[in-house]
Amino acid sequence: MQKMLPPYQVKAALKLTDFLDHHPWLVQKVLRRIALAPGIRRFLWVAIKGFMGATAFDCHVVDAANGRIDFGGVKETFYPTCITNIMRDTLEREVGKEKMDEIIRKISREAVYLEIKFGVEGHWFPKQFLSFIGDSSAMDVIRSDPDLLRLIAKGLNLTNRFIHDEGGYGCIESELGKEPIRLTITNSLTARKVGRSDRPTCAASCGMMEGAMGFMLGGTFHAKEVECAAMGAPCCVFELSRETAT
Amino acid sequence: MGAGISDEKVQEYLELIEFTARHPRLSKLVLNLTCNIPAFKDALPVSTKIYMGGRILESYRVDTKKGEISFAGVDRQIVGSEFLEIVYRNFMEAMGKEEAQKAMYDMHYKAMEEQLAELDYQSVLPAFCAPLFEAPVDLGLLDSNPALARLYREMECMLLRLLFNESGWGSPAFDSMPIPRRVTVRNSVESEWIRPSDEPICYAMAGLLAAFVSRISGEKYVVCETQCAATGADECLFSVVREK
Repeated sequence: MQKMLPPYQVKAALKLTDFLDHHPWLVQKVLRRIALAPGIRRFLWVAIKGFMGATAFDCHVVDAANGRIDFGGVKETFYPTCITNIMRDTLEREVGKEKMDEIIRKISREAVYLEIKFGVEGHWFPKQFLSFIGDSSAMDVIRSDPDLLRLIAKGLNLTNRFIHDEGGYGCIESELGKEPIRLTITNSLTARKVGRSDRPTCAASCGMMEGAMGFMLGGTFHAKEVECAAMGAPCCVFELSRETAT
Repeated sequence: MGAGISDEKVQEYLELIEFTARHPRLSKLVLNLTCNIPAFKDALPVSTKIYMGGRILESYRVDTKKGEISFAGVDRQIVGSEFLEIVYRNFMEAMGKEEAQKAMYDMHYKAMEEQLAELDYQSVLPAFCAPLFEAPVDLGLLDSNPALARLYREMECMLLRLLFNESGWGSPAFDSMPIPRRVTVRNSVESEWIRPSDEPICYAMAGLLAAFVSRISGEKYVVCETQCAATGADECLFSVVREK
């Protein structure tokens, strides 16, 4: 596999982020302002601004004259959430329920794959933290080193907060340490829009997880929603594993 | 509609708009600071804050604990702009080209229609002129009151700016207001992602514009793209026709 971060860099990055976690006042009142200062904000990586307390909304650049929004190299578009139900209704009418889920999963998978790709190629993270991207053996190496696992988990949590939670999709948490990877979404966008259902509804979230992990670790992943808030569970729970060739 | 709107308020607001347009740097440096005083921050409508140099993103309600974002009472979600190309391509594979184009138009028409129905106009526009947009436009009233007509145009431009430009959809311009016959769109997000194309491709944009004009007029309008940047034109052009 490609070269990972040297252990001293991992430890230094962890120490720094742990320090920031323990000093929220310093982060919010001092570092966030520095990160967003006009002369500085355009030169900092999105993730660095995030660790300094900036929100995703702080990091978006809106070009009102040209009708464009940029988030660290990713072009973005805002939708009202009613599009979720409108798209489901359209697809259900045209192709039926089963195929609807399949298409929504595929659309979300492709969209998030590209979004992460553009972010990684753009200005989300310093390149040296991304040496594992696309490497299918990276997960084993990451899991074998507790410090590296914790650092990657912190980076992933920040990315999740920026593109998922502050994207309006609910609040996501992930456990990378075990196989299959377990993710929970509280207040999932699809579940809250669809309402009560007798089957799991979050095909879009499954696709998003598959797309994100597929780009980061290479290969094909499959997400299964094992509990869904639309079916009465307190939150939506997913299991994500690498698809083995049959 | 329009009864009870004082000419004085209309005039004062027009003066604010003109002043901030004449002095953009002053607005950005001084007025924007005023906007950020907590008492003003919550009290001022979004349009006023934008005229005073504010950013629309500061007007979003972001609840990171719940993973929800909303603007002026409308729940929103953010997608990468490539989403439109991916939706269109997958729809074409599933239902064929013509059905996919119709679906893109209809879905976005409905999305804009619902968005405009849910929008809290009182938080977007000054309280005295919000009622103008809560009902279909009264062309007779605007004809008889040029100052109010000017303000209406400004507010309509502001709505376009908030719902299109500052939502990453490109930059639309109406040839006449309040109800256009032609709309030009620069950087239509669809044309930037679904290209090159042999034919106009901005069905989602057409649906959004049709719902916007229908809401303003109170009548059903159809929008059709006649020139598209995806085919090599400089910008996209749409014709707006009342449905018979």
